[in-house]
Amino acid sequence: MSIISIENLTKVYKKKKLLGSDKFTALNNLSFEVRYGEIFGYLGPNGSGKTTTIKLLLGLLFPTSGRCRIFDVSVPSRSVSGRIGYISEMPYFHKYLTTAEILELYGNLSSIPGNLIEYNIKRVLEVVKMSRVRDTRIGEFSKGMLQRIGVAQALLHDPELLILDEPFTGLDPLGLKDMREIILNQRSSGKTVFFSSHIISEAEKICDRVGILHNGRLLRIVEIKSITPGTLEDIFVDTIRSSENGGRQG
Amino acid sequence: MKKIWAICRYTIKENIRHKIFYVILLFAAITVGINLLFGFMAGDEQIRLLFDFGLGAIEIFGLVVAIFVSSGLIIEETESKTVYLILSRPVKRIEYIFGRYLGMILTVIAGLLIMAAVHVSVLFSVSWPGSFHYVLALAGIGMKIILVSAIALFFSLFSTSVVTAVVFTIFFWILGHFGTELRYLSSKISNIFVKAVLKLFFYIMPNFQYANFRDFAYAADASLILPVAYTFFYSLICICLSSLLFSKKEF
Repeated sequence: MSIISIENLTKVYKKKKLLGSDKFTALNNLSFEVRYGEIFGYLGPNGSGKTTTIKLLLGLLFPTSGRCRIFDVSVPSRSVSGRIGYISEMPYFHKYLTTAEILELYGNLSSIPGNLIEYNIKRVLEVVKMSRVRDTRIGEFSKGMLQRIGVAQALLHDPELLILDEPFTGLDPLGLKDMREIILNQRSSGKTVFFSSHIISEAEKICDRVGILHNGRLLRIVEIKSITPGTLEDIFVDTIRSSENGGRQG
Repeated sequence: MKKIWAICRYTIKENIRHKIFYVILLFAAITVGINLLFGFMAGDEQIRLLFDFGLGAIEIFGLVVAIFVSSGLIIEETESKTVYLILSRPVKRIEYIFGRYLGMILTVIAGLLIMAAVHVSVLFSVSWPGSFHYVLALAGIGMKIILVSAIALFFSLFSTSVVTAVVFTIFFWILGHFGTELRYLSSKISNIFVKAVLKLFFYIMPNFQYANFRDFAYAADASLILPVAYTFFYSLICICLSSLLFSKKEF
C-alpha cells in the first residue's frame, strides 16, 4: 500500500529569453512509490532533482507531464496538504515574528481548532527542546535553532506524512542525533517519513528504503535490510558513476 | 475566513515591525513646521494653507507607502521563500492574496488616521472650527489608497522586481487623474486607431477623480455611493486578476 505514488513525472524548467527559451529537464519520467509507515530516503547529488520532486508533491511547482498522488489523491490538493508536514531545504521564516507567533500562524493555516493551537505549540516546542525561546523573534536564532523550529512547525498539526527537504544539512552532532530521534519516533507512532538528503550515512542509519536519483532519473531503489551495513555509500557512488559512464558511452 | 485573517494579522505585524509608521513622524514634523513657518499669516489664510497642505501631504505620504508596500507584498515573500511554508499548507492562493492585501490596507489606513489626528490637532491649535468636508476628503484619500494598492499588487505579479511594479503603478496613478482629458482628446482626434487607443485607456485606467473630495465645490454635493462602488469593484477586479496570476505561479 503506497502513501506517495509518482507516475512518469517529468518537469522541464523553461527560462524565457528575448528570442525563444532555454529548457532544462529537472525530472525525466520519474516513477516510484513510498509505502505507508516507512522512512524513505531520497538520495542524490546536488542538482539531481530532489527538491523539484518535493516541490511537485507540495504543489509549489506544476508537472510538465505525469502525476503525483498522495493518500491516493492527485496533488495539489488542500485535503492532502493538511495531512502533510513539510520542512524546506533552508528554514525560511518571517524573521520579525516570535516562535509562538509563527507557530500560531501555521496552526491557523493548518486548520487546527483554535482551542488546540496553544496546546500543540507547547507540545511541539517540548519535542524540539525550544520551549525557552517561545517569545523570542526568529531573526535572533542560529541555523540549528531555525532547523528545530522547522521541525516544530512540521509536527504542529500531527501530520500522517512528513516530507523533509535536506533535514540534516547544517546540523551539529547533537542536532543530528535529535533529528534522527524525531524521525524514528515518527515512524514508531505509525507515521511515514519521506526525506531528501545527500548525507548517505544518516540515511543508512534510519531508512527502510532509499531511492538514488541522478540527473532527474531514479537509478535504483535499495532495501536497507538487504545490504551489508556500512555499504550504502559505496552502492550510491557506484550507481552514480555507472550511470555517468553509461551516459558517456551511450 | 480564519486563514485570510491569520495572513492579514501577520502582514500587519510585518508592516508595523518594518517601521513603516516612521513616515508618520516625518509627516508630523512637516505639519508642525509649516504651522510655525506660516504663523505670521492672518487666521483664515493660515487655516486654509494648513488645511490644504496637510491633506495634500497625507495623500502623498499615504500613497507612497501604499505603492511601495503593495509592490513588495508578494515579491519579497517569494524572494525570501517564506511563502513555501504557507502555500504548502491547506491554503487557497486566493486566500493568501486577500489576506496579504487586507493586512496591507488596514496598516496603511491606520497610518492615515494617525496622520489625520496629528493634522486635526494642529488645525484646532489655530482655531479651526471643524468641517465635514475634512472627513469626506479623508475618505477620498482612503479610497485612492485602496485602489492604487490593488493596482500595485496586480503589477507586482507581472514583474520580477519591486521597482518595475512601482513604476507601472505610478504611471497608472498619474494617468488616472486625466480621465476626462483622455476622453476629450479621443473625441477630438480623427485617426481611428489613436482614437480607439485613447478610448481603451480611458476605460482601463482607474479614474481617481471619483474620489477627489479635496475639491470643496465638488464635495459639497458629492454622493459617496458611486466612488465607493467604483473603488470596491475596480479593486476587486484587480485582486481577482492578481489571484488568477498567482494561481499559475511556480515557486
